[in-house]
Amino acid sequence: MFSVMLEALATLLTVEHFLFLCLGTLLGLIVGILPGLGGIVGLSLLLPFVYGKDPTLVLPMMIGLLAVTNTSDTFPAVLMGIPGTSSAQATILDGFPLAKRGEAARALGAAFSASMLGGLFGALILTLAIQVARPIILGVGFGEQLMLIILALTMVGMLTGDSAVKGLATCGVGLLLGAVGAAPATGEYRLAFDTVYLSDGIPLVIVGLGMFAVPEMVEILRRRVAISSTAELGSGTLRGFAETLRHKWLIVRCSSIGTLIGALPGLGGSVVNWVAYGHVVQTAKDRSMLGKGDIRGVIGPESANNADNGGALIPTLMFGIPGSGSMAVFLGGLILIGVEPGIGMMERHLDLTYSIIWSLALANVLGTATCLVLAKPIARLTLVPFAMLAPFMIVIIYFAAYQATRSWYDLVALFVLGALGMYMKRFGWSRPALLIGYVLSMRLDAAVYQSVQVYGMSFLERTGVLVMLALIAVSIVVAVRMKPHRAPLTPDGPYAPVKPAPEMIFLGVLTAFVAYVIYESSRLTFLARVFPLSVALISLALMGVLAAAFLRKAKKPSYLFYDSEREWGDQERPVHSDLHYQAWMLGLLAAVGLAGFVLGVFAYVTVFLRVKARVAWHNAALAASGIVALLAFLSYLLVLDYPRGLLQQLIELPWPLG
Amino acid sequence: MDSKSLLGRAARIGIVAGLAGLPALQAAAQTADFTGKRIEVIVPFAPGGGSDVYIRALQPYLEIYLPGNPTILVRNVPGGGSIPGANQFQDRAKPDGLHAIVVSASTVANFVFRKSKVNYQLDKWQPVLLSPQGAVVYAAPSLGIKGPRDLPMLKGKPLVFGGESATSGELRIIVSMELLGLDVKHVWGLRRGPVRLAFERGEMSINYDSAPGYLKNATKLVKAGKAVPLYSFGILDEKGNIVRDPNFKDLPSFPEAYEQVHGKKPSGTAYGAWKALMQMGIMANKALFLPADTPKHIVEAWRTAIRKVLADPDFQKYAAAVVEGYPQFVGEAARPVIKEATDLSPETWNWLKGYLKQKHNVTL
Repeated sequence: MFSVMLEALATLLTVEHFLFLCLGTLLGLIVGILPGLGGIVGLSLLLPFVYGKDPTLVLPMMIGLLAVTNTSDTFPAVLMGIPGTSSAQATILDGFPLAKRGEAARALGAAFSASMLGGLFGALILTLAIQVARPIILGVGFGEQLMLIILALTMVGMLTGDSAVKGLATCGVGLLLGAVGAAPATGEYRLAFDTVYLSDGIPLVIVGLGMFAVPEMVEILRRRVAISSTAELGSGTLRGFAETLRHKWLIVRCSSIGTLIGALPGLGGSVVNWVAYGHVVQTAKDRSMLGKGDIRGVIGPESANNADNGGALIPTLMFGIPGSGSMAVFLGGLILIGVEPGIGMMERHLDLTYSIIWSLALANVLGTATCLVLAKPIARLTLVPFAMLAPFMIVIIYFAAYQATRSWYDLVALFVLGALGMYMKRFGWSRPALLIGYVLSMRLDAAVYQSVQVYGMSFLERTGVLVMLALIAVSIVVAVRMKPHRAPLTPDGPYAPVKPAPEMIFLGVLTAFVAYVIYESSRLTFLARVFPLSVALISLALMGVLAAAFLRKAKKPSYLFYDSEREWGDQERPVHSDLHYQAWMLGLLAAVGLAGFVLGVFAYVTVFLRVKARVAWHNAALAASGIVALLAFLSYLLVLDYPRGLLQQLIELPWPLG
Repeated sequence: MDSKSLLGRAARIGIVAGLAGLPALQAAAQTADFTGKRIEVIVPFAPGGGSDVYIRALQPYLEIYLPGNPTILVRNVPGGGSIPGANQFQDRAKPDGLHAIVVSASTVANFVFRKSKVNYQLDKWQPVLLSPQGAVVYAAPSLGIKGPRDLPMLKGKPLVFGGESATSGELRIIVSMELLGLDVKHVWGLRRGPVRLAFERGEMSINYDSAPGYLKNATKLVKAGKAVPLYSFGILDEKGNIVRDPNFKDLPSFPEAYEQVHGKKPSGTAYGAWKALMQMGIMANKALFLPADTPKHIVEAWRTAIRKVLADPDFQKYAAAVVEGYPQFVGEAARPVIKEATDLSPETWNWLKGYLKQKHNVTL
């Protein structure tokens, strides 16, 4: 066995094999950086080339690609607050504040080194697991899966923000948003408004972009000149690297979480980064900086999301069951090159299995090295005047959203969720809590039903379930006893109920949504309704507590109230309001609706640069041509089409304009 | 014999059988030319799935055999049970031979069952290739069974079956179990992979796999004594009779299994409904179409190309996993199958509606 392992490494290090690995890694880095694209798109780009080829050549290429998308997706997350892939969402919480402090290079250095160590850890576990993991995976039944999901859900307790009541209510809203689509038990469509689009639920990518990318961008447009508040990039990548090494035990713990969640059935990759972040908060002694630019908040999720790959490969290779979307494409690729994963993979293809593991490890090192070299120069983006960057970012965000299902509704969903995210940020409703609820919703609903259907109540007697119940209890106790770090209550600060109308309107909108869910539930069968109805009733009670506080006309500040607009006196308030920038977000939608994506983007970027950044017309048009060229290139390479507008309905336009 | 060489041979036999009955319509192909063109094939599913792998296996060979060696691009439009992708194809695809679509059993099923959301006219499109795919039902040995012969012993035993939903691809399976009079508890909201894991864990006691999944994974469970195959669906021969699945010659087809349990040949409305579902799920499992108005010479160019692909020894070596040894229906030969799969009689409709309402509380 050991000799097979070394042989696999020796083969991989021959020039041709190594070049294929590098090629895959490079491609993975690129699709990781581009928001909305990720392992799925990258791998499907490779599929036509791998068909019928020598597996020892193309496997390293595919693994190289998969291994590093979670490394490079950190660039947009840290530098711009845009999740490059769904697994980079939690990285934004501390990574972006670090960039705003001018410490982007440090954050990136820490993130990349953590990614690498996490990835190596995952590869190591995979090596050990291929001998022993089978019984462990088979030991996790429906009951244990349910407990895993509940355990992940308790992480919300760490991320409720200033007010536990509001945090839990937000989580409820997230659970309800996640319940949109076909009910697991009956297949009935819930909250789908009789559309095909919503029958699959709201795409995760769009929820992530709406919750983070849009609100952060609007905030910077309103408040700052550039992303970074300092003109220099301060301490560098090497410092970040050193800090990662100092937090080695955090890395071991978060990598273990990542590998475990990746390997076990029931949760899946999009949850990994949130559970890891929740764990960082749970175990931190000093929480004063978490969420405001603590390096541990970057290291934790980044090590976990790379370790996840090693874990996810375990069921993929040993059972032929993909743990994630990109693993599904990988599995398709394996079929095309004639490799049969599943039972007996180790006996049939031991050499290829080791080749996969080595590729995973090497790609993580290669990817990190490349990113570290690029970190400092790319971090300079945070110093550029933001009005110059913003139109491109808006275009990228819409582009990313459109990749979710390639439908016009994606753009509309992004706008609506972006507005929701903006006001949640403004009124202090925890966006991570919403995301955790959203990601776990369907799984929770399904797991409760499936456990009861298979076992009745007797699943609660299983040893594994009891052990997990104990863990859940510990996690809840830690959450309840946690003292959040909150700013002091002051009579004129954001917590004071001065001019509460906007806050109350927002609460009203959320309450109306919850009430609608209750109304809609009445037409569903019992099994389809029991989950959303229970969640809606609890959320409604929590919102009732809030509404009561408002209606009592409280004069004293309270953590129940929050409006970031109150941070300014009348003199310092920015010229433009939220609504102004919401109109700009809507502007792109309108331009695309009229002239299609490519022409719409051209007009939009030109006008934005002229009006907001005062760039001369011809330079603005030149810059806009740049992004049009990029869009055309991506369209050609990846066989993408773009949203069409009225113009395309009326006349036939040549590619890429049509 | 290992499964691979068996497959290769079965594939060849199947292809030759499929080709034999077809008229030679090659003359018209001379005029179509795709030199320097990019052909776009819409796959209304995510990358990596069955339909995606199907077209990607055909892709390089089609590039060789289509006149002018065009480049073929696969565009995935996933989601919505393939309705959005198929609708988009209906709306936008030009009848110039540069646009094609791959559909699967669920595209066909949605065309039949979710009419209100469907804008596409699948039965009007020009069929290029239709590829059936069988399915095998197996159960846990802990039920006290050793082989297909013991099927009657399952009567009255409580069984657990997992799947996506009562109206998805599993409909054909649960109807077959219903006709056999099995006492099944259904657990929904589960994809194939997790179901197979749950079967291995012992949480599910009866399960099925389509041919590729069965050959790749379930056969190993059978070998290890962890699963017992019960019956295959069988396939339709040219005369419309249901015969044993060429991949599973030693397994009874569903009608045989029915006879084994009930002592008489299946007949009646319920059996008619099963047969319709079988056309939809097994016979029309994967297909490649061109838009309805595509000119005849272009359609024929495609059909000629696909015949050459199927006959290519290299394709047979690598792509056995795609056709799996089933007879392939090229061109007009596919039309009757598509008609049978999409044209349900009112009795069949009523039976299905009643069954789903009564047993699963689902309204069609």
